[in-house]
Parts: sequence; structure tokens; C-alpha cells
Amino acid sequence: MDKDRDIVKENSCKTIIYNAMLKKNPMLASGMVIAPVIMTVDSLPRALTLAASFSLITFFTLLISSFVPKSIVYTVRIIMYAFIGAMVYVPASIALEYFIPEQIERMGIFFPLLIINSFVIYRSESIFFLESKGKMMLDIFFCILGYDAAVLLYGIIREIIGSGTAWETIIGMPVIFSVFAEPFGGFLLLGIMAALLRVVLLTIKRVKQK
Amino acid sequence: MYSKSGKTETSIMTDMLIVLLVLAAVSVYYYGLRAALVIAITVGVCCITDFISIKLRKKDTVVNDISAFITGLTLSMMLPASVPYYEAVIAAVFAIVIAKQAFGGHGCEIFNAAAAGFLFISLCFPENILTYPMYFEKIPFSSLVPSDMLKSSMVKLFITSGSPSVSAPDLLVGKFSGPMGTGFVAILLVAAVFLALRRSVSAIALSAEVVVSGIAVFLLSGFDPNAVLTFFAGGMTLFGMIFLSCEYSSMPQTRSSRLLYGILVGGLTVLLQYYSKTENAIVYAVIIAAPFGIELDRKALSFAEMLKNRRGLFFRSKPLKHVQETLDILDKNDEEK
Repeated sequence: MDKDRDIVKENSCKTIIYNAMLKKNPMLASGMVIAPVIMTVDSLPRALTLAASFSLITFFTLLISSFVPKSIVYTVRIIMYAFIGAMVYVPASIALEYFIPEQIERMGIFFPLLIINSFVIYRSESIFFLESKGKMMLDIFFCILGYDAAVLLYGIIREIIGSGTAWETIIGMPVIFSVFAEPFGGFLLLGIMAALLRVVLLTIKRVKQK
Repeated sequence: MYSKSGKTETSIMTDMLIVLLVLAAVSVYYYGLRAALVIAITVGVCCITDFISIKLRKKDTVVNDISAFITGLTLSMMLPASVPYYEAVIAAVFAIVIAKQAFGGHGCEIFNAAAAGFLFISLCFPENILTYPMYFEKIPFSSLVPSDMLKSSMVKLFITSGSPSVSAPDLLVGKFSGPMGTGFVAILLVAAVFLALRRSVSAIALSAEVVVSGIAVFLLSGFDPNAVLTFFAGGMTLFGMIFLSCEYSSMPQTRSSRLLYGILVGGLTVLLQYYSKTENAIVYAVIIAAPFGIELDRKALSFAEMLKNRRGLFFRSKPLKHVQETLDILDKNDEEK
């Protein structure tokens, strides 16, 4: 925990943005909240739905949870975060069901499960809540943005190669790999994207070293 | 480089190559020149992709490494002779790039590359991969073969009806609809004996797979020997047992874990074929069992280590042969460290 604290103190705004978007991208580098991605995101509209619902629920849950006193026992604190998440979920679900009812219904159980995602349960205590309030807000914002960007990219690629459509419109792909529309293919695509991110990071590192 | 059987890897690969070339020759005889073209494309793409991947990874190419050639040949034997060429290319690229090189290249694979490549395209394009032309039929050279020339596999009919539809002599010589190189039971039986005697496949695992699945099918089919033969001939079962699950690169190290691995693969194949009605169940079984093989090894080695520490307590004279073998592996590992 102390080590984390030191790292957090050293982080500049630029580092926070770079880490959140690329180096420690929550989805592609840390493998966080991947279950709803694999199970529900097989097209761009669905990716947008997940990104919107995740952003809304996670940002406000973390923001409110940051006010929970540290003097409370760790286990109780985590339960309180989940409780806050459940409270945030109610207005968020009402709002989202008003605007995109069909898409939210399609998400099924993975929509309410966003309440207890690993951002709220793990990353909050190990990173976010160790920072000053301003930096924390910035970190949470860019982490969510990094996750959303990865989800959208994943959704576009999976829709094009798995269904041969873009925004649910046929684009006439010569070959359609229907396996990518299935969870097995979803895992595979996520793995390939994570590997490609590592290649990009290594290339950036090499360029910087030169 | 020496394999876990004590033979050089080149020697094992050469044995595999001989058998696969025989199967390839027979498949060309059965399905004509289109089969030869599919084999050439698959093998060629595998070798080229492997070479490019190695260069991209900035590793040194090994002159006598024919593993990509073997993967290509194994993969092509699992395809129908009517497969569209681009699908054969996709399977080959997937097998080499994703299943082999992404895991660190030859010797580091977790899953059999040919099995992974086949599984990928059979899930992507089931309509082309799981329908087959008949033997001795003239297949056109165009990429897409007319659908009226294609039939479901013999094993699919067996799974749905529960009774064999092909006579035993025809099963032995591969006269039924199926992948182009996996149904020649007579040749495969000779190949199994040859490879086991040459220690190029694990005889323990292979016998465990054959015995467990054979007995299970015999019981489940109501004591029908023809059903057992159909099970081994169709769905590339016997071929998969020899070339996908029993090759040393994906085998556990110790004899006991090889035995358990064989039982697991055999059991899974029967379960998948009989209860989930999966065509080509052996391919799925091999992929599912692969991580267990590694874990079985780990458990066997830690168990042997425990015995090593308590040798005096457990063994008054000499430890059992296979335990001694495991202990030797442990000692060898220690020396290498």
C-alpha cells in the first residue's frame, strides 16, 4: 500500500492521462470489467450502451464513495461502496432506460452487475482514494475514458469482422468470421487487442529510448 | 534438442512426416488433385507464416525445424477436400500466428496448433468445413465447390441416428464422407503401432485414450462393435488421438500424468460426442485437456518431490519404476537449474 502511495504521489497529470488511456488501460492492460464486454459488446451501439452505463455508474459511485471516512474498517467500507453503487444505479437505470430502453434490456444481468465492478471494489482503495481530490477526479475521469475508448474500439472491430456490419448496417465484408460474435471469439479478440497494445507500448518505449 | 521421450525432436518429426505423407498420398488418390492443391496451400502458408513470424519476433530460424510443415500437413488432413482455398489459408495463419507463435513458438505451445486452427475455421465457416465431398468424385478446382456435391459427415449421421451407416470394411479403408485424411483406419492403426514403437507418440496416453473411449462406446452403444469402429473412424477420432493429443510437444512429462491425460482425453471425447452431439469431438477434447496436461505434470512432480523428501519413510528398497522416472526428471531439472 505504501508503495502504491509513493507511486500515486509521483504521478503528474500527463502520466495519469498516459497511464489511463494506454499504459494501464483498464480493459486492455489490466483486464478490468471484461465480462460485460465479452458477453454484451458485439456491435457499436452495444459498446456505446456499455460505455455510457459504466461511465455513469462508476464515476458517481467513486465520487460519492471517496467521502466515506477511512477510519471505518476496510471490509465495511467496501460494503458501503457497493451500497452507494446500488443507490447510484437506480437513477442511472431510470435515465438510461428512458433514452435507450432496448439496448439496456439487451445487456441483461450485466447492467446491474456494473455496481460492483473492479473499479469500485479494487482500484478505488489501491489508487484513486490515495490521491488528492482534484487528481483523483482527473484519474477517475481518464480511467473511465480509457475504458470507454477501448470498449468502443472493441465494439467496432467485433461488429465489422464478426457480423460484417457497421452500426448495424451491412457493409459488404468479403469474409465474415461469425465466431467473433460468440463469447469464444470475444475472448480471442480481447486477447489479440491486449497483445497489440503491448506491441504499441513497446514501440513507444523503443522510440523514446532512441 | 531432445524430447521428453529421449529421442531427438527431428527424429520424432521425421516419423510423423512419413506417416502424414502416406495419409496425404492416399487422400490425393481418393479425392484427386484438388486435395493435393489444398495440402500444398495449407503447408505452404504454414511454413511462410512461421518464417515471417519468427523474423518479426527477431528470433533465429532453425534449419531442421519442420514443425510448421507438420502442422500444415496435419491441418490439411483434417479439412474436407472441397474447402475454399481462402479458408485453408485462414486456418493455417491462425494455427501458426495465434496458437503457435503467440505462445512463444515451437515447444512452448499450450494448445495443438493444428487443432486450434481447425477449431477456429470450423466455428467460423461450419457450412464449408463440416460438409464433405464423396471419395473418387471429381471435385472442381474452383474455390467454392457446388453445394449439391457436398454431404454431411458419416459421423453426424451416426450421432443423430445412433447406429452406424457404413459397413466395417468400408470404414477400415475410409470409404465414407469425412475429412480428407482422417478416415483411413487401417493405415492409422499401422501408423499408431509404428509411431508408438518408434516412441514418437506416447504409447501410454494413446492406449489409455483408445481403451477408455472404446470401452465407453461399446457400453453406450449396447455392445455393438461396429459402433466402436465407426466412433474411431469417423469424427477424426483415431487420427486426433495419434496426431493431436499424443505428440510429445503437448504431452505431460511423467508416465502417470500421461496415463491420466489419456483417460481424460478419451473420456471427454466420448462425453462430447454422445451427450453434446459434437462432431469432431476429439478436437474439442484435445483443446480442453491441454491445460490439464500441464497441471497434471505439476501435480505429479510435486507429488514426486514429496516422495523424494520422504523416500526413506515410504520405500524400504527401491521406489516404483514410474516414481523413479519422475524423480530422475526432478534431478535433471535441478541439474539444469
